[in-house]
Amino acid sequence: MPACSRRSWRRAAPRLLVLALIALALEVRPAAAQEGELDIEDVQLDALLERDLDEQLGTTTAVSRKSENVMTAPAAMSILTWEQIRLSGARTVPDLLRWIPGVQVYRNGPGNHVVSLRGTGGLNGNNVVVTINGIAINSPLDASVDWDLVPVHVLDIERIEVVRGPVSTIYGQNAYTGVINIVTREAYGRSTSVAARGELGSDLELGVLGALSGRYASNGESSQVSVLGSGELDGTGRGGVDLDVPSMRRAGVVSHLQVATGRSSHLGVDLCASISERSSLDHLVLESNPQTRALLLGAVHFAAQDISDVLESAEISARSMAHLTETDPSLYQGFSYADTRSNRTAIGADVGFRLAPQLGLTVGAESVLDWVDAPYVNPSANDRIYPGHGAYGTLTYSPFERLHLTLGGRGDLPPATASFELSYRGSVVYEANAWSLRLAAASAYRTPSYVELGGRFVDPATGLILLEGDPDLNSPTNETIELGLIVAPIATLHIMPTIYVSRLRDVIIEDFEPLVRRTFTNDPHARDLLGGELEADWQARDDLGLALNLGTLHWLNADEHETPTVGVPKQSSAVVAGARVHGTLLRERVGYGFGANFASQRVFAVRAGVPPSIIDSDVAAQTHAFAMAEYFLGSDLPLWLSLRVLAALPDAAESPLPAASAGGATAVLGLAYGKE
Amino acid sequence: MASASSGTLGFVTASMLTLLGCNVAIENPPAYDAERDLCAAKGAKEWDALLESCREEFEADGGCAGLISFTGQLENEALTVDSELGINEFFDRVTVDGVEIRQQIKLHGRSPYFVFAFEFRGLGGELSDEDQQRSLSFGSGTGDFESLDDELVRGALRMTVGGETKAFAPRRGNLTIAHQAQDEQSATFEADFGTAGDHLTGCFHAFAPKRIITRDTAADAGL
Repeated sequence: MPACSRRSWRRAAPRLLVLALIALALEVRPAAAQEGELDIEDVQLDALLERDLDEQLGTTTAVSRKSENVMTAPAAMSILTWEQIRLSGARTVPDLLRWIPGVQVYRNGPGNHVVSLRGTGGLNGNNVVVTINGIAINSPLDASVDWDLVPVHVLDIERIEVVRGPVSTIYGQNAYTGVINIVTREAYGRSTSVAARGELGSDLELGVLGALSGRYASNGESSQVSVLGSGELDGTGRGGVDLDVPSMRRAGVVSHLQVATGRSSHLGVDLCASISERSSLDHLVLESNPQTRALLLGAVHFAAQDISDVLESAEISARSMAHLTETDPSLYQGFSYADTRSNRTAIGADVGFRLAPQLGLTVGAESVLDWVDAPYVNPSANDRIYPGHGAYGTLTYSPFERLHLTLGGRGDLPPATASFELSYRGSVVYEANAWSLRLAAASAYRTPSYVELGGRFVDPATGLILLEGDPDLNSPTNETIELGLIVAPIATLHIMPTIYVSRLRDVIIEDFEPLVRRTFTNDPHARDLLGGELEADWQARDDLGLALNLGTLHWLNADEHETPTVGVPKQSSAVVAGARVHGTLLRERVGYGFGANFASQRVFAVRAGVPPSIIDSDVAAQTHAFAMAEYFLGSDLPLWLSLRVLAALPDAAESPLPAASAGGATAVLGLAYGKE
Repeated sequence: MASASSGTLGFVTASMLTLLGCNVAIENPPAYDAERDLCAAKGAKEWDALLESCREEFEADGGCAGLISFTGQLENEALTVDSELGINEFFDRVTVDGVEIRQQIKLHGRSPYFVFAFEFRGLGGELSDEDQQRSLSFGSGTGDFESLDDELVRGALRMTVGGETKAFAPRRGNLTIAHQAQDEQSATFEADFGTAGDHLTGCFHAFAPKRIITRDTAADAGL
């Protein structure tokens, strides 16, 4: 049995599921577990010592959309592996992201989260590109992310890659503060795997949580296929207000098919469908009513590698995504996203050249067609097709083995705006055996949304226009310089500090102050942000791992120009930190994890909603704690039992919106079957 | 190699499209663009026709209480409004000699974005069926704007939308009264609101379904 290759980690991991502390008290017989009934592979600490840091950190495709080592990637990034995900106790993707430095999460209600990176996002959460297996799922309407529409159960996620900082040179519009890539689970090697999982839980108020999910994945000689389906009901954490906060119900399926078309080329097809009903609450919709959302996504790509000595790779891709939002307008006093439909269709091509052994060039282009149909968009702008185009190039150069230079640029004519957007990224990475140092400068932009540009909400009661977009808005830009270090003082400890300075220009403010309208405006004052991030992961022993994450924000000049509108900087916590302990015991028959993350106070004194209301409710510092355990019942019948307990402290809403509900405390019991 | 050619072709095509600027900017003209400045000379005919129609409606069932139109800038936004007037309020004073003097009027209208009330206090001037041309100044400072004997007037514009309300007071400018009868008042105005660029010019012709009358007593007159 090989000692601890990445593959063995992965193969062992699915077998490690679950036991709760309760289960331990009931049936666990550690001696039996030690008798070697399992053929699972041991994880030896000394094996970790044999691997250099580069190998331990692995590779990623999230930064450049091509495989590269994390250690020398030209941007700050974090990865949560499947084992870390499993032992994190998280029930949702946003809860997982609380363990990533620089990420801030708050919850409006069941299934309704806002995630932001590096201090921007506030009440919007539309400054980051979120992808599933590399395919963006942001709403074409406003680039927001419906986390409840992520169509996979959290335990069917192979890993989550978070790139922090501007990445528009690769991802174009809206990669303003980063990219979050969700990679779903597949079969390993040439094998077939199936899994099924059921969960049942409750909060202290007897709100019910239930989830069912299944996965089929198979890797053949020339094809790979995976199909993942999941459904969930979440009625927990609906306290905190005297309102009937809707439960979250969702169902989704995601599939991936890849067929080899030659020795080094393949055709890939991705399909994704998801539907959800949850609270409508957001910063424009200040009411918590049931809202149905749906996502349909299809993508096809053809990629070839090693085409010639010079032509290293080529890829052509096409994707189309539709978003739908439905509400019952009769339930709403103010604004609702009733009858919203949008579509984004894109085609792109990407060609990589190896100009010399140390010199690579990637060029690509993408054309996008957007379509938005919404009753709150000005009829002169509604139900039209908006094309956008972008072209980019990235040069990589390694003058000697340990030094890596990257220089990239991209020009875009985004849909719906008349402006030309230029973004850049340059980095220098020096790597040694046990450390690497990265200096990077980059810019990115966020295209104003169709609401910000073309919105026109007419109050059905009075016929007056309560919200109006401004087609002359500039795209907000983020220019960042960062210095990052990845270091392993000992083989089992990785420490990854990053410090950065960002200048945000043309931040879009929702300014409900003028009654003559044009609700949205660019902040004429630049905002400078000094931030720090720290990530540490220490595998202290075979059965004990510790992980830390810390993100700090310090606004250098924003206080001078605060306005009582949505978009002020203090909406983000100055400090977000987390610590967790995890490991496996009894020859990996038992897995455990516990920990807590903390977000400092946030200040809200803004007008929001349509019609505007004053939101003046500071959100107190909040801690989310968890404990989980899992137990593997036996190899003959590969079942796992798990218990996860999560609690938000204090039990108060972490969103300032008036109808937001508190997270509370939840316990979830899970039973899973899996066969590799 | 076919894939590489396609990729290169796509890149070149998209690059050319980018260079050619083949995109469509969103259009979202303000609703003020659909409003008319009926006080300008070119709107005179339309104003007269609308006013005649409004008068007939008012006399028939009180359904139209007049017209108002204004254009200019408020809160850094260019705006033009034409509106029928809703229920107007005329406040008149009758002296011990039986002379009727206009004290104050309140006009209610709506724009696409807000409902508004114009208020003019300290108008003065006798009521008459004859046209006139009397100019009053919007003053600021310590003037006695309640006085009916001077050439000062106090104005206010209150806008309301979605539970929010905001008032603007003209600091400079003038109100020129063209007609001031018992149940009818027309005037043009030019008002500077003191904040940089905030300025309105406009006109109105208002009918009053009822007047609120204050009668002077002998004591009021100092007799």
